[in-house]
Amino acid sequence: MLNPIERIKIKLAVSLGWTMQGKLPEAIRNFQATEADGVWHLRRGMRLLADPRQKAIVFSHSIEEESHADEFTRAYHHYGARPMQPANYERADLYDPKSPAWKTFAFVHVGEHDATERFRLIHKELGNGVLKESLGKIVADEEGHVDLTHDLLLAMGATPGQIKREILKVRLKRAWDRWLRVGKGVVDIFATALLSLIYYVAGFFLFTAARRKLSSRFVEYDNNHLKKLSR
Amino acid sequence: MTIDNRRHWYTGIALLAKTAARTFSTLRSHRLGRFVPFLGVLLFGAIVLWFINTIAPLAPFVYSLF
Amino acid sequence: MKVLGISYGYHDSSACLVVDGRIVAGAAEERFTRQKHDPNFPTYAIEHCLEKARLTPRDLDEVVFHEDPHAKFSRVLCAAVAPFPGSRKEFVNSVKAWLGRKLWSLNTISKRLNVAPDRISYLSHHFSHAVTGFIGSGFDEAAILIVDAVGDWACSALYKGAWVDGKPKIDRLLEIAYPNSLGLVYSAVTAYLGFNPNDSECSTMALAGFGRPIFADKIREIITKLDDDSYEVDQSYFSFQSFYRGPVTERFLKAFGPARATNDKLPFNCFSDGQSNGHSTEESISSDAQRFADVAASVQLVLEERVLGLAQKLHSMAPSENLCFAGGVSLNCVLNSRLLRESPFENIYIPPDPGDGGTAIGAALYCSALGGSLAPRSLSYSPYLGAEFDETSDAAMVKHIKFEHILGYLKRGLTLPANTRLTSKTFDSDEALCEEVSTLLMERNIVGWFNGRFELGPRALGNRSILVRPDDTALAERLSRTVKDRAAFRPYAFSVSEEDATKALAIDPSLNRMMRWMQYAVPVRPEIANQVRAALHVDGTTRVQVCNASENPTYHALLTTFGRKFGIGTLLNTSFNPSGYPIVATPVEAMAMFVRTGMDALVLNRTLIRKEVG
Repeated sequence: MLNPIERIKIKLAVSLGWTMQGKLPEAIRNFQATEADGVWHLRRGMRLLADPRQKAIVFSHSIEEESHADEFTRAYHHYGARPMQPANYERADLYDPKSPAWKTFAFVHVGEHDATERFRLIHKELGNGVLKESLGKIVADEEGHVDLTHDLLLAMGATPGQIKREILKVRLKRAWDRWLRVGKGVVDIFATALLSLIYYVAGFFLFTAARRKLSSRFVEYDNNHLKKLSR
Repeated sequence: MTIDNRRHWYTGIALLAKTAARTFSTLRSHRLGRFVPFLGVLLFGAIVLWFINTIAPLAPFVYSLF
Repeated sequence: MKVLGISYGYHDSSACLVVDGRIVAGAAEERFTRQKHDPNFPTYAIEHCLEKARLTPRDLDEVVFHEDPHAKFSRVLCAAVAPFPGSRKEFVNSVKAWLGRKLWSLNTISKRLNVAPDRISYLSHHFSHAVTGFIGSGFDEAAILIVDAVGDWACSALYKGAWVDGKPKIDRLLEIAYPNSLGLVYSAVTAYLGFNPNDSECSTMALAGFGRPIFADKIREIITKLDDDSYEVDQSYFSFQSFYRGPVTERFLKAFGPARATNDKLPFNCFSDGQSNGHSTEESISSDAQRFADVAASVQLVLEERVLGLAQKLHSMAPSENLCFAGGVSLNCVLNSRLLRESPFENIYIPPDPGDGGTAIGAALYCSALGGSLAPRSLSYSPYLGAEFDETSDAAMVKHIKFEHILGYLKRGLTLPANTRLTSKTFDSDEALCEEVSTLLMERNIVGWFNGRFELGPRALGNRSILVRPDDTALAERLSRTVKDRAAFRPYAFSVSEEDATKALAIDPSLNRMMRWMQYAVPVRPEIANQVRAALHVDGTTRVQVCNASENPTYHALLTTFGRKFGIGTLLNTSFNPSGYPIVATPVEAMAMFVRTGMDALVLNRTLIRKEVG
């Protein structure tokens, strides 16, 4: 269940934020990246599975996620005038490879659940269009995934108690990550303000030197040798 | 010259300081000496922001004290 | 001596490990993270390199980074301030990125690898390209030309290289400074044409084949040739510091017309027969579409002229028979062919990955060479440096995949019969495998070919390729529509066995040895043109790979076996990647693309997986 703040944010985004130029494509790009991320983690998790049956289940699941990512790519190209830039945040395994495989899938399970909630609300708020159509399909699929993933965790040897505890840990971690993102967002506002001030004050005195430098056609200083910072 | 194979607790700080120093000297090498104090201000700002970023998760608790 | 070369920060992160003068492994990070042009710290590429050599970071003697972050930041700062007061946003974003992360790259490397800073070295970016180009060329001495978007301060650079007392000596002759960048101009035009800059310059190059260089004079005024054979770029047409927001200015738009939106159609078709200029009359070409093609043709022509000018200048400063060419612009195969034909150099070497992803190799090799552990002139390397995978456990899941569950998630527009199933078969020998696959190819199947170690660099060279017979344009169109999502104006290319190269290519046979890695657009012999027409561009050229048995024995065997049935050992070879994603690395990724798209068969090493009905 989404918390009230999340609900308000989504409603505001759909009704106001996405009407601004470029914001809707950017949001769709983030949805695409979320789905692609899920695909990646599922396929990384597959390496840890020995049972080919379980592998096949996860594989099929990843195929569905991949089709969702493609669906968002299609929606992006419908709304966006520019080609979609690939995502560039750093990907990392969720767990140490020595951890039991089911933990990775538990993390994915929580991610699926949250994504479903968010997409369901967005789908409800949106007017008719390509994105609503895409989300309708995806929400219907994602609802099935939540149950599938839970069954898979049991099949992998996790007990209901372990699953519950791990899910709680994941939720806490995600909540903490969200909190840190909020904090970073606030700092980012400070940073923008501070840097803008520095730009207007110092830039005024420096821009002629910068332009003069950029007008020289050749690089004078020969920097072409092996260097170390410590010497 | 012997190479120190270990990373110490102070290595990070030392490297950051050396990076800053090397950037200053690079600016001079490229005849952008006027940018050196400017970079100094930016680096100071970066330290301030880093500090704020570090305590940002605690901000609501800090705020609640006032 | 164990040296790890690392490149990351802007695009195409990679890592390369050299142990006692031999490259053990190298890979681009994107292959592992599945994010195209991944710029982040190459964790997985490094892991692959170290695993291959069974080393840990503590065992490394040296780690070399491919650029000078201090010099680069000085340029970034300068470039962000110069357009004052209109560049506040760019300044803020640049400073955040650099002071938040990028300037501290050397500390990041030290921390992430837990390696002492004394073991970390770095080179300037263009010098990294230069060493990548020279070391591995096999030349005793050479002139070295680097043309890139921008490195630290330089955009284009001229060097001369030689082996002196067993060590490489590379001297700078000239560096042309930012913002006079041929690479950035080409990328800016790529963005103007509605393609992704730093990714789809090949689309601009392909589109140029349908255009007329009617804007060439205008572009020559923008990229002015100077008396000393260098050039200057008129900055009033570009806005390089706000590249992704809009790299061309109003002045550019006034000169060349409005930019193309990414959804605007470009109804050019490489496969149309006998139409004037190769245009298809199935769909009429709008004046805007023709204009875009003409802009592409014009910028392509002028790029070639300016790079030729640089080559002339380089030859005058470093007279040599040999040229090493690297930097992102050296991915332009049409340009490379022109250099081969018209430059004063007899021999040209372009490394397998001449872009930023290859600088990790150069950095590692150079450091090794200075440490004295490299045998001069003896090192040349193949591109097959990536990870290899045993497909057994992934293939074992084939019989458990319920294809009916996947039918609803195929690539959009693709349908398969409801009773489609997957079958798999493992072969005991390459001969038997190649025989069966050749038969499938003759029967007009689209075959995914996954074999051995994946390639370093953007080209699929027979280890991660999708193959079809090269004579069938309808089949190639099916490939574009149901597998690759490829625009019709983008041509395919072919591989040919070394033995049949002379039969296939209308070039001096002595040049065949330079054609190993799909770096040149070359014409084909008229007598075989029909047999390879699906792999030709509208001008009758192809970006060829000449495959020899020593470099890739299995792929060569396939070409030879197919050649016995087809008449000539050529296959249309396109990269094994879904649109928008990097080339596949693992069997699972290959299988995922296989099941979702219109591919008919998939070869994973010696295992053949097919879709069968019933």
